Amino acid sequence: MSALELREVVKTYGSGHAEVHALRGVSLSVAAGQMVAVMGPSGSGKSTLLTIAGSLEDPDSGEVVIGGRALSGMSRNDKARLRRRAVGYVFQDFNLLPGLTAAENVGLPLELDGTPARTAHAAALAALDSLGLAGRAGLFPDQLSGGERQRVAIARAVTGERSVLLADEPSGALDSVNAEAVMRMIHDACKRGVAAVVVTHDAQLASWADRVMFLRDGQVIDQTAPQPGPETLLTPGAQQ
Amino acid sequence: MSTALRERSVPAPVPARAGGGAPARRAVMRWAWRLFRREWRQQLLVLALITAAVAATILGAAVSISTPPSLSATFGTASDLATFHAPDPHLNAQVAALRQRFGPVEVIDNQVLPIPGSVDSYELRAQQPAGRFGAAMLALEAGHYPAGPGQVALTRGLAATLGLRVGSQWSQGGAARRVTGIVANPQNTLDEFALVAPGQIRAPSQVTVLFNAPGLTPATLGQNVQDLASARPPNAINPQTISIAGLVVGMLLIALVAAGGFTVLAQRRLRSLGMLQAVGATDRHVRMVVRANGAVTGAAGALAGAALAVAGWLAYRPSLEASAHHQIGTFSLPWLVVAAAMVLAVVAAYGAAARPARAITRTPIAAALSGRPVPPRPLHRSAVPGVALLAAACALFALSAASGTGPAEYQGAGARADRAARRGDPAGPVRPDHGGPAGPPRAGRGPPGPA
Repeated sequence: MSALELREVVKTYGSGHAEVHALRGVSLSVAAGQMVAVMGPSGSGKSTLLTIAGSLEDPDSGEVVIGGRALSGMSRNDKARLRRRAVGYVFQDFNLLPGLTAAENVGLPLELDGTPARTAHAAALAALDSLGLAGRAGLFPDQLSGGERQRVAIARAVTGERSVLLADEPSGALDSVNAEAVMRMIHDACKRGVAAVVVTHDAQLASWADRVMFLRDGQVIDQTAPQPGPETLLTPGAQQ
Repeated sequence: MSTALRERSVPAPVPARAGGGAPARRAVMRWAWRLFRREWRQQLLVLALITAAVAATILGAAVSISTPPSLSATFGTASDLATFHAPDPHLNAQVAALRQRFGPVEVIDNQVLPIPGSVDSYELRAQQPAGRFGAAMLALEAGHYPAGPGQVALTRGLAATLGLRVGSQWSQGGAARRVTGIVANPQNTLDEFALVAPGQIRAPSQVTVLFNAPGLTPATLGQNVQDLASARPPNAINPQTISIAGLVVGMLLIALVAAGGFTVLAQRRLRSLGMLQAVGATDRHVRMVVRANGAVTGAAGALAGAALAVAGWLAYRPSLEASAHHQIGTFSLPWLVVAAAMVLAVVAAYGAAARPARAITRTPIAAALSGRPVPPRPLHRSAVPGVALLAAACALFALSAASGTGPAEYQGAGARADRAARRGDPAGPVRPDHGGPAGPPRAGRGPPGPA
């Protein structure tokens, strides 16, 4: 069973002369432990694909299935519950909540799901520790560097029992060393069973994926398996 | 570096805790509080309005309640007061009757004496300083109370007028008394008197008896009896009521301003709220953040307003005591108004935040994350009803002009007034004609006068 599946998804914005076809019947299936990179020019529908895959937006037609459950017909509350339990997001601009420390940001989805604050905090600290951020847990987002923020965002996205990780240009605001480190973390998460969809412009980073999907004008124009494997592309700095 | 993730599966929904329960609420409230601490300056206008309204209400109510003379100046802590003008041969019997019927009574003898060399007078008063009802009417400022014959205590003004101080000898009516203290009536600082021990006035000109007669109207006891209710000025509206009514109106206006402020703030936080939804917050959680911000703003304004009012009160109270001519307790504040003002401030701010809270959850998450509010949808409403109503109004005006009736009642009244004027009848009716039966027709010109 696919962890994430999109079937003939169509999304159109605007109407009349301003009508934009963001997605035209896109289908995608991501198995558990698989990483799919989505590439394409600006305006090709990559981000729309992610927002629809993560229930942040509803498609005009088509179906999205996460963990065997179709999103159509789900209430807003059910979708919210799905987001905090099954889907993790990593955005280009981190999207950490201001006013919450790194640990609180990571533990927030757990708390929203009813986990007591102390337990959520412990889980958050463990996740941050595993990403080398144990010493930064008590800092606020504006006290962290870009790379640290993105690692916190990844920790938030994988904490708990998330099965799907959606990353929209996760390395877009980072230097090459941090970008490779971020991709490696996502890759590590996939090794542990997370299905990941990563939008990127960078072909070298896309080579971390098991499959690369090319979008143009809202349509899938190609899918391919990158060669060679990601480990061979690691820069010395990222390997440390 | 590796994540500690194990086998993954999509958990089944747990209906009992769909919203995350108390931990989720606590997390959301914590974030709302942090946001308020970070961004309170952006809510300075709303905070200032609430603070000013609460402070003005409390201070206004405190001043208006404390300014009027207190009935305690004459009643003490009693609810009823009987006045007897001496000499009255039945006085002792009447006092005994009151005591038998109503229990403890307190008798205060008064004798009006002229100030030597002046047209003014003062009272020589025989009263028990620790009396059951009258203790509130006495305060010792210096020395001690007179305890027996040959002792007297004076008010500060009277002592100055008579040129006496504590320890001086005071001669009056052939009797010499030593001044033992300076006293005052804290409920009425204009009350100038000389206090002697009970029973030390041989020929009182007036005797006041204080007692409690619960449930009885003074008229049933005698014409010389007053109770607190009958002594109050008639038709006086409780200043607390006026203050709270003013506060309600003021808070409604502030809530309107605050609603605009909270809407702007919610738009500024749109992206953060979108992030919150992206990590799994429900609409209820988002509404809670916005509403909690409103409640916290209201609470902060209420606390600041109350603190400001208390500080203002402490600063202004001495001046008020001087102008109101009675002592006012340091914390003699209208606590009911204080509580009402603070609660109302929180409720108003919370209510003002409710509308933007609802509106913000209608923004799609993807749009919120991008930080751009959804443009308002163009409304397509038919112009037909408006045009039809306009046409109907024009038609009615035209019909009115054509029939010459105009605003019928006033036109009729005007015509009749004109007719009356032509007849030279000064009592001609100028009231509107409501179609009721007309008065009898006048046969001719009558003499001027009432109809």
